Amino acid sequence: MAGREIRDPIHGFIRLEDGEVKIIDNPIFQRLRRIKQLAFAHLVYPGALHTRFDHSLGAGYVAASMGRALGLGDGEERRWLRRAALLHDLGHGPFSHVSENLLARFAEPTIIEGHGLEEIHELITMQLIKGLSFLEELDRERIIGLLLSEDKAKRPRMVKFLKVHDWPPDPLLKQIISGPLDADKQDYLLRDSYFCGVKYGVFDIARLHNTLETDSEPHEGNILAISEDGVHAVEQYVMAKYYMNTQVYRHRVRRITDAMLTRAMTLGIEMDRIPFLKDLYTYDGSDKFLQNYVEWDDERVTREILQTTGKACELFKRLRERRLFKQIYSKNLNQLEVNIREALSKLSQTQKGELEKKVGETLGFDPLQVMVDVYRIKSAREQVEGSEGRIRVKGKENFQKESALFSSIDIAMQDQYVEIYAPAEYTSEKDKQEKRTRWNGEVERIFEDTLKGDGP
Amino acid sequence: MNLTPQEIVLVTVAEADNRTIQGRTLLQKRLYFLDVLLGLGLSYRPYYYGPYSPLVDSALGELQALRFLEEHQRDFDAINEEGFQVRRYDAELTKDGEVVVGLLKRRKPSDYRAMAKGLQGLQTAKEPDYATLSIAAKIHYILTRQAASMTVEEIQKVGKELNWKIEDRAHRLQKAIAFLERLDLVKQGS
Repeated sequence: MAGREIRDPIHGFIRLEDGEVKIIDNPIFQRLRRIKQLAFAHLVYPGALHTRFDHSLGAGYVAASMGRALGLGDGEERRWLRRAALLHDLGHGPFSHVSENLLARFAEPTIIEGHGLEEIHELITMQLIKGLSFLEELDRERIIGLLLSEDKAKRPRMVKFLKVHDWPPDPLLKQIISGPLDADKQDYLLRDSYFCGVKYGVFDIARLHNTLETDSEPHEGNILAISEDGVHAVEQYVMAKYYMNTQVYRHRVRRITDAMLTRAMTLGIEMDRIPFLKDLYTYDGSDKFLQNYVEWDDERVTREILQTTGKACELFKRLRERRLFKQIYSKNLNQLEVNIREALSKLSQTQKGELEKKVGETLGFDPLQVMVDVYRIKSAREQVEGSEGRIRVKGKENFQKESALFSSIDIAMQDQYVEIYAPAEYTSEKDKQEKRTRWNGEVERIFEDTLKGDGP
Repeated sequence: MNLTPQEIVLVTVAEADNRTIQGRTLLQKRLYFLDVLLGLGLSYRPYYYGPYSPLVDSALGELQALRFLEEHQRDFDAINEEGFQVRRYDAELTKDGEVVVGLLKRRKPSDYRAMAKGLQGLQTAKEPDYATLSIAAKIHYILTRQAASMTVEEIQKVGKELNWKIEDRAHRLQKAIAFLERLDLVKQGS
């Protein structure tokens, strides 16, 4: 066998080596074909039907292209790099990120203890890679080493749990897999933009790769950087991240579909007591859990839930028919009174439930179908230098200092919002305005009663 | 200590003179030492200007979004070594921020007191200006990372490898070491 070529709408022909063909032909990887990249975003952008499978192939391609641009040879490091990128999303569950929230919420508490909630799907990815027995053990461990969190508190816990040898990754390879300029982000921005039919996520990837450099970091070795000539390409890339966040990932209707989906699954477990949903999300780290987990995808969950009769089914029917909930309240937090603003910015799950109950009872909606959503739009600065570190310009300052664009705007600006969704119906624009005005007052009275607490 | 990074930043600004921190570097470095002394879990990492916490930076952004803090840009006539005009961002507590600080004092009194005491400790140890404080943070970070005694020259050499300037301009190096000694974080041998 001499590898395979796959035509991809974003990158053209993607060439896969024999070992990579074995990976993608594995049923666990093929399952990613049935998990949409952006869950129900196609209800907003009809073209957004692409999957984790396409994205994984794309991430592998981009990682390889970055490796080539940086002069990495054809040796084992390049193999680990490509395969780590190819496998980085292997543990994604049905409806992608919606599953992450549910895993975090319903995992066995004894497993969660000592692990950050966000780690559950990462652990699943590593466990699945560990189980790909057709790969050499050393390859599997090196790939896991590249995908594991670098966090000093998390990494040893995960290594212990997975019972693998810890291979601290080469920082350059690590940054290609996970960092402010990683292959994952580069692929999903271009891909999501293409399939959503928007231009916000477009940047000049060829130019960006053309300006990739390595810089040295004492005690760490070579790290990823760009040349001074790459500053404009990175500006475009950072703006793409910012616009995709504000225009696509945080799109109002997309937030509503995600909230409905999460609520449907939660009610399916807690109220309807659907056994397969409980089994799917009660992560206990066992092989039995994993064997079941990889049998599920978007289609199967939808089909099975539609065969039930409870609250989850009701919401799935609405999603299928695009009878979406409406936004009944929306405010920038800074428009609210200080105590309420402070309380909303750190709302607990219990407080959220209490608010939803009161809003439902007061406004005449089923409280189980009222959803309070507090979120924030990251600042442009966080897009440049978030928790993954800064973008280095070789022999110079960091990107932010070198960019005339980014050094001249107030990129710390960001906002937090509170929104409430419910199964509201409007008969006309006038009816909508009247209801929204009335509900606005009612909701803020509820905030006052519920959240003001020990304020002045 | 049971305070979030947002609460830590808020208390630090609230306890500063005029409820204002003059510059992001000063905030980062003051909190670096507070993190060392109180174990706040702020995950400092090496960056261009010394140890830096993305958590502090992110908290600063969130507090502005909530309008509990305001950042005011101040441009100075001076030109820095890179040829740019010197610019400073001062973080100031807003009236709403004062209300939240009041709530925090009531809700988490012992944590608030511990933070205030820690900040007072830095002042008692005669916390130097931000540039010297930055050098002190770099020296402390290097010494902690090397976990061994080092001469000033050795520290400067490692600093150079990290692209950190640890120069003795205006006797800053000695002032920084003296500050670290007053905090009992280093001891000078003969």
